[in-house]
Amino acid sequence: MATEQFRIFDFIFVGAGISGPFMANDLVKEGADCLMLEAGKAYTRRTYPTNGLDGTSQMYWSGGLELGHDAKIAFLRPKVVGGGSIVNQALVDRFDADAWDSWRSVSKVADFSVDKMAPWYDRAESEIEIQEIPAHFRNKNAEIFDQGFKNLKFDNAPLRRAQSNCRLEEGNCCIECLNGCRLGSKQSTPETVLKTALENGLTLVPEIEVTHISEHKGDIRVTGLDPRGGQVSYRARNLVLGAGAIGNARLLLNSGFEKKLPHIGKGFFCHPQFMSFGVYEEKINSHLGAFQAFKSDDKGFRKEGFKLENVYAGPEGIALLVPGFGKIHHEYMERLPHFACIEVCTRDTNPGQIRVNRKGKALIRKVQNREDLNRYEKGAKVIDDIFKSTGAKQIVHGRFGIGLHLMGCCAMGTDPATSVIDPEFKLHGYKNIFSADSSIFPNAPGINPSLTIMALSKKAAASILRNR
Amino acid sequence: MTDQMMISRYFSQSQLKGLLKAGDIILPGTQASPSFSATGCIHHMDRMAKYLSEDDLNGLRMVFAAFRWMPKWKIKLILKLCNHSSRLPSFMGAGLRMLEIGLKGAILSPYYANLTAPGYDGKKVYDVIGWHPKMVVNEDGIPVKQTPVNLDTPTPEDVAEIYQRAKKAGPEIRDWGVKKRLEFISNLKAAILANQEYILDRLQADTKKSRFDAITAEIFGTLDFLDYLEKNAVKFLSDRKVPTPFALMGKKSKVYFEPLGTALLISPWNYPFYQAIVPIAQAFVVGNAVVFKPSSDTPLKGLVEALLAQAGFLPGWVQIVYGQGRTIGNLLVDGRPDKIFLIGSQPVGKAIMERASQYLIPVELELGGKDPMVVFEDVNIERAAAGAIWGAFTTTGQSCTSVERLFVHEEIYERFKETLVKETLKLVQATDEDGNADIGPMTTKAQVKAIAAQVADAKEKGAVFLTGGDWDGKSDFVPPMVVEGVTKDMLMDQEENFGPLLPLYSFTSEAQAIEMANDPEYGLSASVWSQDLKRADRVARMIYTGNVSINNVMLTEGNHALPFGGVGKSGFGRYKGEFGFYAFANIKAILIDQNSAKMEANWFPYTAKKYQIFSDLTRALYSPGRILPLIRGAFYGLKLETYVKKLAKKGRE
Ligand SMILES: Cc1cc2nc3c(=O)[nH]c(=O)nc-3n(C[C@H](O)[C@H](O)[C@H](O)COP(=O)(O)OP(=O)(O)OC[C@H]3O[C@@H](n4cnc5c(N)ncnc54)[C@H](O)[C@@H]3O)c2cc1C
Ligand code: SF4
Repeated sequence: MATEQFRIFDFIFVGAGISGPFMANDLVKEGADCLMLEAGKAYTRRTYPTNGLDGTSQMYWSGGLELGHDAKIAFLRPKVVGGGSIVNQALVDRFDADAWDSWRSVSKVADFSVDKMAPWYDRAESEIEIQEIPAHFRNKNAEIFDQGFKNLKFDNAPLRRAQSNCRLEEGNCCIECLNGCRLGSKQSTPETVLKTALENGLTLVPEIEVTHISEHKGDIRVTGLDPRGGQVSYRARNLVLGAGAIGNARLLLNSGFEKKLPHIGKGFFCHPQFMSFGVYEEKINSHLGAFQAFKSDDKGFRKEGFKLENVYAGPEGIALLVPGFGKIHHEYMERLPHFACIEVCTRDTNPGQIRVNRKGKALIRKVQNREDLNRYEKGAKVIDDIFKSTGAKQIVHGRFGIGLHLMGCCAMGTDPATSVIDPEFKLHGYKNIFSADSSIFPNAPGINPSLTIMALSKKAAASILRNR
Repeated sequence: MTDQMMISRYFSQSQLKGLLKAGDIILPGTQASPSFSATGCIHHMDRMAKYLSEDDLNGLRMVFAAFRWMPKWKIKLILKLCNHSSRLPSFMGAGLRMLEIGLKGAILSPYYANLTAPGYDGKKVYDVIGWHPKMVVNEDGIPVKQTPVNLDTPTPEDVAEIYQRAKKAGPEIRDWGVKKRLEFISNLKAAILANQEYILDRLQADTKKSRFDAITAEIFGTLDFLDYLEKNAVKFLSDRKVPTPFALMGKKSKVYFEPLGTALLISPWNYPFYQAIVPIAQAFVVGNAVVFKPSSDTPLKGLVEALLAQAGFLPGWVQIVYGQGRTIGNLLVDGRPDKIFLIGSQPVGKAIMERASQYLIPVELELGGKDPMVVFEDVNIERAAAGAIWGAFTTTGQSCTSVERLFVHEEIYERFKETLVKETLKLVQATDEDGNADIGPMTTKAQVKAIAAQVADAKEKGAVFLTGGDWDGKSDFVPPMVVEGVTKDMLMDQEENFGPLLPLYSFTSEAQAIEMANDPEYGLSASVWSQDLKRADRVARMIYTGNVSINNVMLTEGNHALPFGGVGKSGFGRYKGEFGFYAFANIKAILIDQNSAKMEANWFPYTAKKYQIFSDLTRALYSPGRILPLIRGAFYGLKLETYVKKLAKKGRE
């Protein structure tokens, strides 16, 4: 039975990930009556899962890995209040001129430039704390990364993370960072903008999966599924889509918008990432201390379309990536303390596409073409060289790629035939449906997306307020 | 005790076996690492399965089921193919990769999350892979843990927490559904069988009863009941259609059997195992969370919990609370269970009912009895006497349904008495370990005292002790006593004796036997013995009691399809059998009508004309006859409907 909520909100937000809370925070401050619906659960520092099994099953869509049609890349799509900001590595980078220029050239959006975006980055960064991992907290895994770069004469740089106090000086080892930060250090939206938005009157309803939206003469209707049973529906004057690349595409497709906007679901990118492991004689203990410290900062790599990151993962994840089964598998895992890890992240060029099946489920089609594979292979080759130059006894390549930076499907652009969102963050042809999240990326920037999502969201909120 | 058994809300037993097999192929274990099955991490599958999409779940189910009967070499072959999936044509490669990621994900995640079965004491996976990250957290980052509650003489706060947990467990148990709940019952059966000797040791230690009494009444009886549940619960708890009368044509009527919520069960000390498992199992199968309090004389501490845990019950589902009834009985009632079920004595029953009445909690009481056995002149004396001896003295007379008054027709009285005494003297009374004793000593000191008082009183007032007259009035080994000449003024005639006392009376006629057998207070069970089954049946109907065995004794309890319960001060309500399910069920009536524009005749507006048609209809429908009322009823029914339609359209004229 439908429960009609008769209150008419100024804005309904679909998704409480990164973009939604950043926009809502600025809108409620100006007195807008906002409702935010999120499919995932709300966790607190006390209730975050503390192992990989619970973390992955509870905080992602489909209970963990989602596979595309060829099952070559496994996608991780956050489903939790805070979205990606709860489970991600919190690396925050501004886009460079290369990224903005390429966006501008495909989208024809004039504001996509380093200069025009700089103030929005400033404003986004003012909402969160950002720290570099200091040199003396680097662990052995990071040292190998650094040493390899020196040996091979490549440039690297320390990572910038959205964190406030990771208490590394107390010997903290936060491999569980990917299940949510129990210290409250990670600058997730529930610790930052979502918190202030709630204080300023935002209404947040977790565990509601929005299944359908419609617009009729300025009136927005949103229907959702309540896990406790039944449907709920809400009304508003405006709608903000913040369900992420796949989430927005799925919702718009299921709501029949592709008739007017044929580009919905097209132009899906994901920065396919591949982990490789170097196995050393001595113990590396990559899981101790700060588990990340470096990224590549090499002009050559950028041109070639990949970057390298100093990362690690929980044992559940690594176990899935090492090859074989039986004794062979045990042999790998029993040597886990001897593993170092480097990841290549490719800037994918071949767009994928999201469709929905009859049940409304999202289907992912994402092929790595020759160019994209070349990018991966070049990066993997550098990783091999790094491991070799630092004395690894064996090198293990992960069994499959991972897609974490899910982007596109509702690209921003000036032409409704080849884009979905207009330069004012509005759905083409609609005055009151907006989006500024990862779905509006016109292509893969090859750089961590979250800080740019924050900046775009601030810009979108300002644009809405200006036009009110 | 042996390994815990696994039940999954999402996977069948055979799918789990397939998973276990594949698990041990992928993770066979080495010198350093435990195998997949050894860790018991399979117990945590539901933690993951709960969040999987229906499609993924069905995929896994198919794969696990296929593995169940597939030879190991074939599974290995498939896994090897998976290893080389990248070299295969893409349509095959994709399928194999999906299989590999799905299967490995299901197997590796619980294993590498360091999860184990409860009580696992082998090597931990985190130790094997050297996974010991130190996490510095502040107070507000410390995961919420359940605060331990004291189940041993709990305080009011503990009791509140106990009911809180039961409340949380309720929906969980309900969600499993009857069929899946029965898997836990099957597991429980297996756990009891596997630990039979240990259970018997514990039972004998607490009750001192003979091993034979223990195995027949407590193990066999319990298993038989669980078996009955397995075979019948689905039938009795399924939604039922009931007929809808003519006047409600077009509608449908159904009955649903839903759990009540939390059931408080209180059991006595005489059959501590049977009286624990049976009510717990029945209440659980209906879908209730259970708070169970055993007698403080025979707590069997930890035993039932361990068996339930082994059968896969989660801690909140059935909580066992210890302590003296006097101190915690009221507290447990104050926790406001949704149903109280008590087996015990009259005074306890009264106290609990009184307390429960404050909150209007429904109670069901199984109290004591003073059960008669009536023997007519046409019986086989040897058999009837043996039956009397067993009925009176089994478990040293400490059953609510043991024979406490034996009425024998005067024609065979002397011969019967002779056999009775001779055979009683042959009983072996000892504390045994091998099943070679007939009866043991008494279980509680309090009961020894109560019997001593009855015996002393009877002796003083002139009763004749045909056996056991030499008992010192103190020893726990209260011997079986056959007593003659018991009169109305003796305690032995008035009170329940709950021990090996058998007063013997003679009667002259059927009518007198009935009169004597009908106790003014109690009415739990009775037995009637006669070659003439018609007479036996007549007498059985005339005795005011809950259960009657004909030509046998205490045997209605032997058939778990029969209800059990008393009348009068022996209590009320029925448990076990079909009716036992209803003791713990919310029997919900459902009437389904269609959504339409149609208005009902009995709704407003009322008009004089409608009144007239309705009264014609009533007369037509319920006048004598079969066909005619139907035809007339249809006529007036139609007329009424047409008028109601008109009213709806035009309103009151
Ligand atoms: C493991 C991991 C590590 C990462 N590391 C980094 C990193 O270090 N740096 C970086 O910049 N980026 C990183 N990312 C990527 C980054 O987190 C995402 O790009 C970012 O979170 C996208 O933000 P968003 O607001 O567009 O969507 P999301 O953060 O994904 O939020 C969308 C929210 O909408 C909800 N939703 C979707 N559909 C519906 C619906 N129908 N109804 C209701 N709610 C719905 C989802 O549940 C989700 O919570 C990482 C991602 C992952 C998974
Ligand atoms: S404290 Fe630990 S969990 Fe929190 S952000 Fe820092 S590294 Fe992550």
